[in-house]
Amino acid sequence: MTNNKKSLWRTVLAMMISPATVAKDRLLDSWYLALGVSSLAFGLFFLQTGLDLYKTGQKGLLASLAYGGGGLIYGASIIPLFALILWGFIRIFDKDLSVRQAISAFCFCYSGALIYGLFGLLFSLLLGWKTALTFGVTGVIWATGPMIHTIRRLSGGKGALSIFLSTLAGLGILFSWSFFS
Amino acid sequence: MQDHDRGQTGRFILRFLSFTAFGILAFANPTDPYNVYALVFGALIGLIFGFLFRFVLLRFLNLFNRQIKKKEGAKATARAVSRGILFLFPFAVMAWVSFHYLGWYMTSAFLSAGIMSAGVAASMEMGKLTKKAPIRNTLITSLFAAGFSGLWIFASTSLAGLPTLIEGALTLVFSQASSLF
Repeated sequence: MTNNKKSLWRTVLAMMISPATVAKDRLLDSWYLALGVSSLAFGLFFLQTGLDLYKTGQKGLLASLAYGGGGLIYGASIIPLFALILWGFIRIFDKDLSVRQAISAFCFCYSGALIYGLFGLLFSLLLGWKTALTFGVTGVIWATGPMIHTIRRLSGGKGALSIFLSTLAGLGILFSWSFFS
Repeated sequence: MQDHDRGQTGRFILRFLSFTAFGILAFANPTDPYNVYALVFGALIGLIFGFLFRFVLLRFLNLFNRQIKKKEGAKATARAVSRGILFLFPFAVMAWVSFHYLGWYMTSAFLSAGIMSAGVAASMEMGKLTKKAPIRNTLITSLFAAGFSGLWIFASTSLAGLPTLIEGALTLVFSQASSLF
């Protein structure tokens, strides 16, 4: 368990520094850990949105916490859904790629967003800053970089395809996020 | 056609579009997003920063990877940097859609994340030339890209009023000129 925890944090940090090397890591079989990463990343991001609204008096504390819950659900359902769609495309080039691996790889792309979310929450709670835009949005946008690397690695080095699919996935996430927020 | 020439035009077009889009968005006014003066001025600034980014990044990476440059040649390293900069494209598309269709004015967040991703991708492309990606390259390019995106955002903020001044000056000149004839 301790080893697993160490591996998870190592993967989260490696995804920020060198995502391509993580894309076919053995840990990608641990899809539930990856789901945890994307759920927490979006949970923290949405929670900060709720807290920002609470600070400006637009929402109550319970509603703010509900935002966080919404983020958890978003990260655990919408992100894997996008992974599933991408898996369909990538399967054309890599027949061996399983759904679980695709979901894991895609969800781990939000490792940076998780780190940003943790820092954002700290600044929000300790210093009273409004952090949804500065930390939350930035973290989610950042995920596009690892996503390009991951898709390229999984599709056997297809650069143009990875840029095209990442653009589509990024736009899909922006629109879904706009819909849910 | 040599290997490093393949796809050169496509890469150039995507780079051109990415930097132009970011330049325009950095100076776009949400109440008048298609102001011709802001569009032209923004595009120009975007292309200048785009040229500078590629130019300095290439020299920077060549400086720290003399062996690679010596072994693979200047064209190969230039190609690696160009391929890395393509990573900016998804961010440019997302920033454009966010601004024009979702009403989210967060160009700086997309720009900084995009420039960082492009920088890191360039260092990884450079690493591929030796079949290994030195972590030193990633750290150096991350620092450089962070500084560069900061400089771009600072310059955009500082020069934000310039398109309006140019528009005013040109309107005055044209009105004076038309009264003469």
